[in-house]
Amino acid sequence: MTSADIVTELRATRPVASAALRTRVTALVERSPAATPGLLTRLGARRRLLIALPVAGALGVATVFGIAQERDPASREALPSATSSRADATSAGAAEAATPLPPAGPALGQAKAGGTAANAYRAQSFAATLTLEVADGDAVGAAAQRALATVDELGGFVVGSQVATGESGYAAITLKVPFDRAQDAVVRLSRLGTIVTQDVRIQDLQETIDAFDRQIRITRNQLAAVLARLATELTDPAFKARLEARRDALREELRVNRSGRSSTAAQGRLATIQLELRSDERAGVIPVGSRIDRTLDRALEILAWEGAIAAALLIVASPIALLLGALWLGRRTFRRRDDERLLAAS
Amino acid sequence: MTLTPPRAIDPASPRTFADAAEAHLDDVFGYLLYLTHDRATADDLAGATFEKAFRLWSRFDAARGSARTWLLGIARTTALDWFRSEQRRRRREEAAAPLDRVEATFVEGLSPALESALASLSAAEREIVALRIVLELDSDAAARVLGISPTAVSTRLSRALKRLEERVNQDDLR
Repeated sequence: MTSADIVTELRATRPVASAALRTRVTALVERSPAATPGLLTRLGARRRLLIALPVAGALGVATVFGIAQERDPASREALPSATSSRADATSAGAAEAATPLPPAGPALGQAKAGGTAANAYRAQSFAATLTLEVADGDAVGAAAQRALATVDELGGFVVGSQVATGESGYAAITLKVPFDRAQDAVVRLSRLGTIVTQDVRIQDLQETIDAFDRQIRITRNQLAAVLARLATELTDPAFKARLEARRDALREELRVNRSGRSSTAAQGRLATIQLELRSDERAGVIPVGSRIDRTLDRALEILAWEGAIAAALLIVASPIALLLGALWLGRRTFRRRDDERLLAAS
Repeated sequence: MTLTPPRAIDPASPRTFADAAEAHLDDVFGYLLYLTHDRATADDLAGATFEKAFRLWSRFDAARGSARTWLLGIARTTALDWFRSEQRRRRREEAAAPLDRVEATFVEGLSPALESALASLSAAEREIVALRIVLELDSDAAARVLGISPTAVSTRLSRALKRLEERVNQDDLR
């Protein structure tokens, strides 16, 4: 008997299931579902939950955080609304730009008298840069005129200006206003258009003025001592010459210090404002979105964070996952070989 | 009277579990019969196979393989569970008293020489004969059922047929 004969005989005597088995299976198929299962059915309820729950959780957390941060007033103020404000001072922060500034007068008065008494006001320099967008070139000219009128009303003056009207108008104006009117000036000028950028710098000058005052006092005391010595009868011409030279040097030093003090104090009397007016659409205005936009932005940020956290967890968990995978593979291989041994021995 | 002709079932892509069971009941039974070399056991295991398949029917993916391959895979798993439990039972019983081997009934219509030769093969060898010869599965399908490569399927089949031929011819010479 050849292999071909064996194959022929085996195929000719193909087994057929018994009637009892057919009955048993028929009873089973009467309960069978209507159609071949689709992908969702094949996944099974548990697997669907395993996928749906984390996704729904991530989206839910992102949405809740987005809405919560949108409702928080602090986060609304922190929005990138095209306004930036910086304060560079030892005692003043950004909040000083919004709080009333101390008048320069009392501070200057105290400084002139050389008083050491504590005072509520300090000499400060105020410099602001304001960029506004207006509707068109004609609006640039009108806004520039209003800016000049405002400065005039506040007791200030224009240092320099450049105005160009037309399709894309542009104006750059440098203004000086009294220090105590600086905040008022910024508020009124910012109403001339839509704020693109706003930069406010406040620098404390009081320490510098105080240092000048101390040095002036020391120099004056030294000068008084030298003058008193020179007023006496001096027999040594060389000594007298040295004293006179010392007197001249102290006077020069006093003059320099007083000049420095004056110019420093002068910085605190007037605030400088650089005003820029534009009508170009590409001025870079960042529109503040609607509430839904902001909520979506926040939610997307949270989703991005969740993605980063998930990636970090994957990185941390991947060695463990690899180990578990290797164990599973090993077990599967061992089980397969065991089955083959079992069948070979049966 | 109008007769409704029976709906043609495509064995390659059955639409329902009923279609799959009807199309492949004999294949599953035949495979289990060759594997276990016992008709009663094959009957029981075939029933258990279809019960299991019915519970798992929602996970059947026609894109990954035919219903026949899927059912034969379940049948093999069911049979292996039986072999393991049989092995444990025999160990316990042999420890108590040696077992008398019972001659099992096999396939009807086989020549005595071939039946005897098949009985002398191991379950693994009969399994490959059943899949490739009796059920005429191709190498890839048989490999999927057995969890081995198509090359390994061909090698095992070749050995099984060679052994079968030797046994048959040995019996013929007696």
